[in-house]
Amino acid sequence: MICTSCKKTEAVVFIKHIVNNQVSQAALCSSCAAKAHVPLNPVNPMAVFLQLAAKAGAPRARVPAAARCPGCGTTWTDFRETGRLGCARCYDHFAALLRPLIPRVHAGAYVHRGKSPRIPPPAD
Amino acid sequence: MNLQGMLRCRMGWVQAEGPSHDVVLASRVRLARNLATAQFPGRAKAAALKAVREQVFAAARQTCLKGAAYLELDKLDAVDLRFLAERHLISPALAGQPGLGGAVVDPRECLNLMINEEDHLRLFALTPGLDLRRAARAAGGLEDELSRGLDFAFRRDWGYLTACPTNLGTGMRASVLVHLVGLGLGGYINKLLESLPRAGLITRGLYGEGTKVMGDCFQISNATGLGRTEDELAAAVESAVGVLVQREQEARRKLAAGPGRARLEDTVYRAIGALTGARLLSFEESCHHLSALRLGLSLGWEVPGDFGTVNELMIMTQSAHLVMLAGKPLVGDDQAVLRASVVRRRLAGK
Repeated sequence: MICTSCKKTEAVVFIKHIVNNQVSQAALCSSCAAKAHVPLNPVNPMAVFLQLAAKAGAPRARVPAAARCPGCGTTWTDFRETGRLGCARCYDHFAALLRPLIPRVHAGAYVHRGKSPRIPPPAD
Repeated sequence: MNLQGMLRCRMGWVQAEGPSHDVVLASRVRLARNLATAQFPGRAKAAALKAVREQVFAAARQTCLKGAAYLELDKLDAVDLRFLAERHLISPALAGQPGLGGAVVDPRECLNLMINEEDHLRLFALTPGLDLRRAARAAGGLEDELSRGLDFAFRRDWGYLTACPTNLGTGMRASVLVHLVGLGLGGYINKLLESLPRAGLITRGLYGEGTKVMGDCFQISNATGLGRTEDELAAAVESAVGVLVQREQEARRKLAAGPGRARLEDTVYRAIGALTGARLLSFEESCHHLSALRLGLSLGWEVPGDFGTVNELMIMTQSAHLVMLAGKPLVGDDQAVLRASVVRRRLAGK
């Protein structure tokens, strides 16, 4: 594939941006990547995640790709195309598909260790 | 142009104070949150987005942000929106498609909220220099106050839930804006930036995701937010950036002491010549020359201005800022003329 910037040389790094549900892609040769300070082995969690998500729609998934989240109607296919979930309930609905992917995007981490929402004091 | 009054605000985070301010312009901690019972912004309908904005505004009015400016982005024009993005108060993406977004901006612009971009709420705390732990405490404190009035989407295993799963967990992005002119001139910058992902860090341009590097300034932040506490994340980024700061300071000293000193002086003083004498300046050109001026300042050379002035000029010379200052659209060379005039006057101490 030819570099989308100079349109002369073969591309060696591929970037996918998703902003406000608009997907844009670029393919850069090593020289244009260097000029734009894009590493030749970029760690772009979203790009990795989408590649893995595409593979995760495989036959063994417990949730069919077309099944809709009851909270917002998002499907797994929608997520693969936009990289975005639709509501908090998507995390419950697609948990089986998300569970193997999350550690691979978060450098092996699979459980939250940070703060939690304030627990209100018991009513008197 | 409804926000012209903000031109008079002194942005607390660009002041040249804080640790390592010769290399680190500012530290910023962002927390991403969503309301538990509303669809995320990419899916929600207009009425729901308006309701989210109202809920967040109402909760914010009960916190330390009660005296802040509350902005409904659909009521602002394109210049106002670009102005907010130029001050890093909203993202360029939200400025381009404001929808039913909102912003809450405190008078010193060190604690801010952005509403209905990718997530319902992004909360930002900024501090001058390298001080991510202080920014993290400020962000955490504001988040505690907001959570009294807002029910955030959360799972015990995956933490705070975000529209994009890459922001799961703490929802925290700890980032610094660094000036790496020495490493750039020394030819080390690409190798260094390529090594950052191994430390779990990502590099972006001046305005964040998908933006260009200008004036040798980079945003460096943690790549992921799950699996570590907020303190651990801030400390990890601060520690890695601390090493980067030392390398940059070393590179500057080496350049100034080595055989290339005359060329370096020429670069710096030509830049000053352009900044103090040019009648036309593009934004890219002014960023480039201000970068050289910052280098001269950090080496203790006799140059005009100071770090705070240079930091402010990087903000004030952007296009929407200049349109606001002029109070009218700028056509042809007007913008370049006004930019050059603003730079000359500020560096002359006016």
